[in-house]
Amino acid sequence: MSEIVFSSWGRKIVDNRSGGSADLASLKLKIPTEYLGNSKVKAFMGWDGVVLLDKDTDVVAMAAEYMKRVQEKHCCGKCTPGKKGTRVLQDTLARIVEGHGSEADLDTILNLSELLEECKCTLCKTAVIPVQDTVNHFRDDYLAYINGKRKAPAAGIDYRDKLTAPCMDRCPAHIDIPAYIEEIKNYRFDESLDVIRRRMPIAAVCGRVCPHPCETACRRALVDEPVSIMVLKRVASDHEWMHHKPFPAKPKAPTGKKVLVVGAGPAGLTCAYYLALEGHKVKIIEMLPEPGGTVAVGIPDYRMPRHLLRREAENIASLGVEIVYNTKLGRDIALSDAKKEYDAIFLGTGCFKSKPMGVDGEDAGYEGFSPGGIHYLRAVALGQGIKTPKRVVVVGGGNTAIDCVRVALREGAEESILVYRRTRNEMPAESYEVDDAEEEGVRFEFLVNPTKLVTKNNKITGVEVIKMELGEPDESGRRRPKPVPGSEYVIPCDMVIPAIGQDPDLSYLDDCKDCKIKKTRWNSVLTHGGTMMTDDEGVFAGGDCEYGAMTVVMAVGHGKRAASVLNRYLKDGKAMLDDEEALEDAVNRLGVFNDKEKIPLPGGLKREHQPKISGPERAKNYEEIELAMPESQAVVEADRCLRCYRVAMVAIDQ
Amino acid sequence: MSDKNTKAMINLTIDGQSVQVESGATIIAAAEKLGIKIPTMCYLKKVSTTGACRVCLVEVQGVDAPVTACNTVAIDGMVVTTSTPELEKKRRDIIRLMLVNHPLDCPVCDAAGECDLQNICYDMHILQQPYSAEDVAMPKITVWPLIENVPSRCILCERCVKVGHELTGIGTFTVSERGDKAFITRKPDNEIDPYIEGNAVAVCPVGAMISKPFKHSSRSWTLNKVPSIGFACGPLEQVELNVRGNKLYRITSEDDVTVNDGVMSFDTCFGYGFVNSDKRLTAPLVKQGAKQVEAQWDDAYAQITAKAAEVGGAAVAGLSSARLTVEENYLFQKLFRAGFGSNNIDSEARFGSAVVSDTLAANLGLRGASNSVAAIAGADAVLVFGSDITAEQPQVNYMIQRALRRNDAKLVVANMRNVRIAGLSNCFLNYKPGSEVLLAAGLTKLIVDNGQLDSAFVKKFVKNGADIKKFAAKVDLQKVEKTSGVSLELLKEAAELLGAADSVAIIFGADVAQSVLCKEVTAALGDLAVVSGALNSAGLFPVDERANTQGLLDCAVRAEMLPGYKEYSAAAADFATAWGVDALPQGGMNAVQILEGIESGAIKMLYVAATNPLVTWPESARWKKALEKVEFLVVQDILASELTAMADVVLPAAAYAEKSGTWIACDNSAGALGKAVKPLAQARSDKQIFADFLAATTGREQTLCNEKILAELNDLSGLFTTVEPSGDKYIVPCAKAAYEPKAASLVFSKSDKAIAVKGLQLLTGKMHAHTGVTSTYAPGALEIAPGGYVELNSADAAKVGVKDGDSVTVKSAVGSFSGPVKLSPYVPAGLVFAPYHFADMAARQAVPVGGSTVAVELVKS
Repeated sequence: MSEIVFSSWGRKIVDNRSGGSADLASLKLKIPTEYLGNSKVKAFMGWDGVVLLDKDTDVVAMAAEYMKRVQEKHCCGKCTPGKKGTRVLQDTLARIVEGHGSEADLDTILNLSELLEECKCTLCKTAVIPVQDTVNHFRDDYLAYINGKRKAPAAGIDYRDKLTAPCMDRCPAHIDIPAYIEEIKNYRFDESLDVIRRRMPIAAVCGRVCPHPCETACRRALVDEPVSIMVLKRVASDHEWMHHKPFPAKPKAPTGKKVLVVGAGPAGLTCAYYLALEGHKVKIIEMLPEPGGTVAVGIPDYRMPRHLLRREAENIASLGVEIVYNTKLGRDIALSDAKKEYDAIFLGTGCFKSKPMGVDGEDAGYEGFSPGGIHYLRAVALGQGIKTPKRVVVVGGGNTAIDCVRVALREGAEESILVYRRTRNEMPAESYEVDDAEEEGVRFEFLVNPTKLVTKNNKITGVEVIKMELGEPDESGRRRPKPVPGSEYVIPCDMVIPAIGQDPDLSYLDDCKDCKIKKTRWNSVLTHGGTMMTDDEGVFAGGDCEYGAMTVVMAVGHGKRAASVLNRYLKDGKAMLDDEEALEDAVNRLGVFNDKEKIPLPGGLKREHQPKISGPERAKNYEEIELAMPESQAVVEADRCLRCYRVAMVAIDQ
Repeated sequence: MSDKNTKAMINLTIDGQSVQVESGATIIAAAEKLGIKIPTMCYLKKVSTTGACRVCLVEVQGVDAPVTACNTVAIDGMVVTTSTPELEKKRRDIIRLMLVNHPLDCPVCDAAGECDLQNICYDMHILQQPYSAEDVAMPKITVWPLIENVPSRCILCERCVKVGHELTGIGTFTVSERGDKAFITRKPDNEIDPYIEGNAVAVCPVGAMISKPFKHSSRSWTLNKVPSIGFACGPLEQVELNVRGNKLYRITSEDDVTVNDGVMSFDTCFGYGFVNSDKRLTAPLVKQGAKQVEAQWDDAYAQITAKAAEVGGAAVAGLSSARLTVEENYLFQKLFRAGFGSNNIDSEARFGSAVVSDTLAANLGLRGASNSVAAIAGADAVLVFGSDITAEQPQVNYMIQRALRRNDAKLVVANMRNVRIAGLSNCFLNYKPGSEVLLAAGLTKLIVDNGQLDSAFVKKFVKNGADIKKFAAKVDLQKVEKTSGVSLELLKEAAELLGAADSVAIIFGADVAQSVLCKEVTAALGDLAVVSGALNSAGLFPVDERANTQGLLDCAVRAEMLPGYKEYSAAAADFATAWGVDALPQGGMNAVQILEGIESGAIKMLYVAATNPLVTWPESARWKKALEKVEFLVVQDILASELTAMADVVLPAAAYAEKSGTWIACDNSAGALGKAVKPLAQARSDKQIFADFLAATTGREQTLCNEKILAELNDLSGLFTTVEPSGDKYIVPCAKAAYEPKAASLVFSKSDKAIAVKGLQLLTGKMHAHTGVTSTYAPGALEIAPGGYVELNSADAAKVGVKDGDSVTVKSAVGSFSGPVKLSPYVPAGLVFAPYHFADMAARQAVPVGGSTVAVELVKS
């Protein structure tokens, strides 16, 4: 028998109550069937319909409970239909379940549901959708209550609910984006930052260099252009900084537990911040002389001024977190010793070992050959006396490659050339950064791939490249480049910097005999079930060392999740997700953003852009390129947000 | 939305009519331009859009669902329909939802008659609503001061939340709870000088926010509304006096048509109760033995004129007030000079405002502010120096708030205390007493060093422009840092903000005016105004808490000048001729000399009008002794006080709302006080009293017509460009020329004097809820600020060994007073603050003449 009894999800009705075989897989519906490992999911209700998995689920009672939670827990009350309408719906449904309903109540529900179309945001507006579905498709169940043939269900069912939004779901740190944008709209910048800090302690960073996946799930884009979510985060963060406001967070009373966080990058800082707030004693060890990890030494100052990164680290330190620099796990402290000394460990060791190009002579130690983009950027950032010659070739198409060509210009290169084996369209780097690089005078050589280093007297004099052409799409969907035989030519240069990716450096695991930590096949740390705990109890990992080189915001998400689970681990001895996190992952698998949705709004409002220093003048220094967006402009931009909240609820057996 | 840039225009069609609006404008704004009224409950033009009520639904061609007109931005080519049967049905259904559990207590609801919900139900014929739900509204909140909140009546439009947060910058309201329980709550406020947003009552569309002082006192439709100006903000605040049966019930202000766009000061919202105080003087009193007894006006007049004649002009002195109108102050000085033959006249302006005025006049040719207060809203950077502006001039504060939110202005606050507006600043320069000049000079230097000096302006207008760079080179920043206690880093940041701005407003207030170095600090701020470009952009604004200080100064109630800032001896003959007297008296004493004169016996008769030297004046204890001693004391006032109790003759004057006349604001804008009720009992307007004396002493009838008095003043002084009243509803009685410096007329003062202070310093000043002593008779003001206190940092409290609530005596070289300790984070260690308003504490007993701060010793009492 099919696991689906009924589904209206996605406005597609599947009714197996009198036969039928559509199941979750055939519907491509990623609804969980199990909840937190020990409960069965009986039904799911949310913004796009109802999915009934267990035929014995009382959908009327569930709809009543759903509307109760929508009204009492989630509805902001800031518009009339939402505030009053969902209250009337809640009471009407409750009256039916209590056996005092009438058939006219069903009309009231449907009529009100229609009126709720006029709500200010989508929370209450989408919340009536599953309720309407139950009235339309389970009318007999309602009538059974109304006619006194059914009584309120006995025990055996429980509900869990979750507030989400497409942007908030897509954000790896799951920031309550509509909430912080609404605060900005209301000129409440401190409150906005407070919302952000509930999920992310380094807003100054993610307000600047986040690849903002959230904006790809912004419903406003279906009307005109996505809301400038990232920049608004920076506005909130800059407001505190530009007004010399004190960092407001205060930690809870000390718990007496000690945690070692390895790495002061975004994952480590985040994890330390939330653990410190819970009252745990946290020590961070960091191999570099300053905080920020790859954000500090891999992202140039013109994109992410390090003084702001230091300010964020100082804030975190002010919570009682000790940060010890120039200290590397495996070199200065052995993991096995740390395990003995601390109640728990979080590994946020990053991913900074450059991948080889696979070209002859890479390891010959030629003068002018950089071991990798990330090394080059770090050496420049830390002032390690690296000399950038006149002509530089950088190989790769990612953000690191772009950063390298742009930094090379600032370090005095007269020619800075980026070599990429596909075309501009396939470049993984952010397109605006490619534009920025071009404006600054970077030269691009697309559809070429290095084949040989050209040297003279052990010194790089050029790089031989071969022309490429695009063939069939590969598994990433991008067309696979193929060399054009015999098309080799030499690009003369004094320096070659490969920037084609990084691997984590997990050498600290090698000499830890009693460690049970396992690695993935990509040589990153393996963790389980979204808990961020490794196979070694009490050792957690997150960020690039766990996932491979990814984004700042992913690292923040990992750090936050790890801190949350770790806190429970320290309190209860169990590394478990809580309801919020379980549902966070569940709705994430289901997907919240629907790019096919038609939104009945006039649109035509372009997004606001922060001012920017123009190309030629900026390439001479490391001053921040993007200037703060004026707050009044941010308010206008924030007003574009559609507040796409929605509420999910699962019914589970107890 | 930014006010800054002019925007492109777009065209749209609403109900078949085409209209052009600025890009970024909403549909409702475009409709308003066409005169099309779209029904709404939550929309309030002066704050950001909310979109809460969902009543203003309109149809837009090509869009499948209705949109709200209030927060949908108009797009070029948009075709909008504001009324269809479907829209009307939806609107009615939404209003019906709004009515779910809305209490039917209209008969006892204060909003009845001016309730938008009543009106819209009536307009839309909503006679019933079909929905029912449990009533989960929070109970009525009665614990707040001055405002009662009735959540069950609230439609959660958030106007109250926004008016405070966005317009006054002080709002403490916010939304709490979820769903139908959601209600307006109040966040904790500054516990030392608390605030409650009276504008919340004004903007509430229903009866959720109720003014306690007004509650159940009057049905709104029975009130007559008389145009006037605010008693604390004067011409900067246009209001309507709501009266019935010769009683003032409340004060309101309209949006759009007033200069303040309906935004009111605390005083206007809640502080007007002194007018109805039972301490009002109702009849003239004359002393019989040790007792004062009621007398006829003529008897009182006769005693005074007889005494004045008996002691002779040289032994008569008079003190007037910025609370009196321009006409009254003009008549006051005329009476003394032409009637009593005395030039011994002065006012409290002697201890600050007059010095500021003379200094700005000498260096910059400026009397008052260099620009309209409204220009502050257009500033890119604002410096508030030595002023608790929120308290001192609420309407100036509101313009700063506008600059901050709509114009993205940067704010630098320089103050000894962490005053309320410091919390909104980009840079807070928390300087030490005595370092003001150096601090300003430091900013001047940094702006010059940064190359941000407007050389063209300097070359054209500054007489000694070449001195600026030399001066800048000389200023020692290390010394500035050390003396002021402000870090160089912060000072540089502040200078950068001021220097980089295209338009700068510099606002300064009481701490500067009352400083020992008043002249020097004012000059230094003048220098900064030249260097930062404030003088040729948003402006330089000397602010005084009293509404008509500028009018008082213009009328020259001071021995050394005649109206229009004319040098006394030079202009005396002209005035004598005009006033029909042979000559004006020679010489003349200022306030300090009058005090000494009383002490020495040279002054035998003192006439005090609308001011109270026992409370508000420096060395008030010395004044008390002197007044006990003076042979004959006349006090003309509205309220009974310690001062009136000492008087030989008490003249009951008409209060605010009981008289007409002109006030002139710090920016030289004029406004007319509205006479809404008759003077209480036998009280007479100050103008009438002075005119009566003038007639009695000169034998010539004095006109009471304001226009004629202003015309006479203008003939003699040339103060105004016109004395023709203008304005339809809110009358502007006269106007002055805009400030325009002449070429090579400005003086760069090179002011750089500092004084080193030792030990604990006392600063006295204004609280936001009070103005002068008058407000201490207003129940509304007292509810929020009931009495005096000694505000103290916990470090200093520990040194003295006192805790919160302990009584402490504050002693200086000139006097002492006692009050309860309030431990506070808003004063730094080394500084003690005491509000001056309260007669029973009389903090200014310890304050010497010409010193806003004074070294004191604290003793637990």
